[in-house]
Amino acid sequence: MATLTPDERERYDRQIMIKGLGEAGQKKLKRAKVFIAGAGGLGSAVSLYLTAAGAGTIRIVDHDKVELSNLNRQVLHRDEDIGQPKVDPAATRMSQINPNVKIETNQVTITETNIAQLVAGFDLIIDALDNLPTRFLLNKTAIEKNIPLFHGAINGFEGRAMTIIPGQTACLACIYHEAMPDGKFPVIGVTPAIIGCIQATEVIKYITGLGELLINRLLVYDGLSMNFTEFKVRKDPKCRYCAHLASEGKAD
Amino acid sequence: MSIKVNIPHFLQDNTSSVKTTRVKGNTIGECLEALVRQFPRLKKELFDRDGNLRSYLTIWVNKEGTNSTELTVSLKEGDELDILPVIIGG
Repeated sequence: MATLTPDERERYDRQIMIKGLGEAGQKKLKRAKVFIAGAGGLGSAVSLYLTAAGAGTIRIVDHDKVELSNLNRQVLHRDEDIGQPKVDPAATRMSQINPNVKIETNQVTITETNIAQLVAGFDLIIDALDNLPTRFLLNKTAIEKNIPLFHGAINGFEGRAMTIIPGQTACLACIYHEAMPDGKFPVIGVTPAIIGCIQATEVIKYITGLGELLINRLLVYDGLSMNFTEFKVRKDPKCRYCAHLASEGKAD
Repeated sequence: MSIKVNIPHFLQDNTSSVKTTRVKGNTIGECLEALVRQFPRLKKELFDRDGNLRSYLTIWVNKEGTNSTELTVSLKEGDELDILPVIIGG
């Protein structure tokens, strides 16, 4: 059982005050091992807020280097970081925010070959990626390893979020089949900030057991109209990834 | 029967910025065909050369998933359709 130091009690005082979270919830956060796939726009928001909240261990993986065109949205990185592996300034910023968090980095491309090893021993997976094939790979691995997956995606002023609990809920492939052909997406930085914070909220709720998770519900954010719409997701009985789990959990 | 269709931002260039409309049809497919009759430029956005719904689009009825790209799903008076593209950015 993790214990909290006097410094940690003071640091997390305001969230320990939250009804139902308390010191017990904070200890759960401290014990948690969080895997973040992507140190871009979504990865920036979700990693910074989970670091501030006191997630015990965070492993963040990204193969890219920082480019000038990233800086409108990827607030982990600064002008001086251009050319550096994204995971390096990510680790620096996260440590500056909260030195109590154990931060692990990998500058690798997530592949079929390495993904099992990358997520081994981690309690949950956060999808902060920028392409559908690797998302499907995360989705497949999450189901195979029975690890919850926290999905987010953005485009322009629009965003999506959904939480996937293998064996119990619909998965990413129950909704999506193929990406639009154009790989370069437009985005304003506030959109991944909002969606990344929703993902972080879901992670905190999952770890502490608070509230109701965004399961079997796709949350669609439209920043231009400034509304959030929920779409009810059904488990696809023909899903290539999770159909075989249909009898193990309730879909709705 | 009359079905409300919500048109996503990315398709509104093809609808003169119209965000919602009403069409008549008994199935998703009939409603999408009626939508194309209203806004002919949507045809290539919604369907591939073989007339299949593009694989990156998902159709939702009354904010619920249809679990299908088939266009034969039946609708009833007052139903509402949403067309959501897959988005991939992070």
